[in-house]
Amino acid sequence: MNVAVVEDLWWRYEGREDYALRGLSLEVRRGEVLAVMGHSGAGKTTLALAMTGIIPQRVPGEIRGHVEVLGLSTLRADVTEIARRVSIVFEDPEVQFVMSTVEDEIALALEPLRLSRDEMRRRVLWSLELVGLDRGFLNRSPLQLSGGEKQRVAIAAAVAREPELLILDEPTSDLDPVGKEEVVAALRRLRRELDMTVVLIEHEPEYVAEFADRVVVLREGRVAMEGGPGDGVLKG
Amino acid sequence: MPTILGELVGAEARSRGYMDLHVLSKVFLPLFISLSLPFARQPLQALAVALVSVAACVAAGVPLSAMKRYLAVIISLVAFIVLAFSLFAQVPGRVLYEVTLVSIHAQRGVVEWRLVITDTGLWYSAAFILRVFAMVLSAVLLLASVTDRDLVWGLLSLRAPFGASVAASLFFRGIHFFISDFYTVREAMMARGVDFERSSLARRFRLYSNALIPLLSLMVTRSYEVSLALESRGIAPGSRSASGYHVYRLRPADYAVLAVGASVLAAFIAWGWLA
Repeated sequence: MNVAVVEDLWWRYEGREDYALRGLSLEVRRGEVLAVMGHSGAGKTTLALAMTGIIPQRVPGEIRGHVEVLGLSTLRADVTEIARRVSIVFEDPEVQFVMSTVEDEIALALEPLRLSRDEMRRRVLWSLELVGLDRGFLNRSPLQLSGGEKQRVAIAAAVAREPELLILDEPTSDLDPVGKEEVVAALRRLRRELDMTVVLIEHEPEYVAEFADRVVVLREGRVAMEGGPGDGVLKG
Repeated sequence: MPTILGELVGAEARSRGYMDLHVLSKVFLPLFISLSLPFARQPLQALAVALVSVAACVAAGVPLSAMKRYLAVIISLVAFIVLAFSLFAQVPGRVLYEVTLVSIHAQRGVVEWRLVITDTGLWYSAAFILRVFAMVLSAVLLLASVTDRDLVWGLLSLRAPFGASVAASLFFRGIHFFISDFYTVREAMMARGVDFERSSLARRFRLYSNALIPLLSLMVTRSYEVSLALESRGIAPGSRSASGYHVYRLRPADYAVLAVGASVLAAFIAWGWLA
């Protein structure tokens, strides 16, 4: 069963002549980790934003085609409605932080779900543990953490909501080798302990080979290659 | 728990009792003090408001020593106020010092610009300085004791919409982002050879004006990014929440603080009225 279906998607940012996505089609299957790869400007982040409804609802531009995520058309369904079931972690974790402690940062993401206080508390601690951060981090400021810790807090805030689809937009690209290894360790634990559908946007083949069930390579806004990580797609 | 001022300059209220108060008390006490200021026109009244604000800061455990680093700014401000009263407002009263700065003799008479320091002028200056001082202290009290947790979950406990509570928190958080961006722009300019320290006041003013353009651009970008980040978590202006992660309740201490604040305001209104 498909969690997301993208059909013949064309997208052009306002004020640009070229299309960022040119007839892109793909599907995301339930429970799989789909890696989306490609060079800078291939349309990876644009695709991620289209799957959350931020494109076209919050970013001005011209769209054609169809995107359906968990039965909701991202062209029509409200972004906050989609956000109840889809979580995204952006490349730069700092832009996502709005609270001054790690605990509040994760708890804030849970508030719109209208959960009980006990359930929120359980999820805050569980998600933090899942990304390999102990309770000592609860009262620390997210802005004062290392790059890898910041990204893990952003992942914890996304995972705590137990989304049906988790989109990770280049979670390791801004990090130094230590931070990268910390995030990869967190992703390993996520993969092992959760049966979550994940779209992993990544450009480093070594991580993709480890995590992905399937790989899609984008080039100039469309799917150039598709296959399993062992099918030679990563070499291409 | 980092407060707004704590994140900026590391000055936070240290009193556990005060920090445990409801956000309503933490916002309204400085507000009552500030609202007393328009009624404190006489130096003695202004001094009383300033003392009340000092007492409130001391009671809350706000480290006033942190203000030392702003001493130069405060002294400049005081000097500016005194000069303004002496140079531009000739307040009637007993003349203590008088000098003619400019004298233009024309066909129809003489135009003179005189510096006149009167006892009443000095009293007015003193009252003004004390009011500014009290205003700064009440702002410090607010910013050194309110956390974004207080704003989000405290307002939520008062049945404010969740989206509005987050927006209130973001307003204060914006101050932090603005200052952080300001330093980023300043450092970028310094890396390109701009020397703020050795520039004249006029040139420094021009340089800071230039910094406003990238600063505004950064602010717009940041607002956009934050709004996307919030929306992607399902937080929008109309969002609602069920229970609230942190519990905030008005306790007897809050009613006491609010009563004291309201009494202070009432007392200054009455004093101002009678005077």
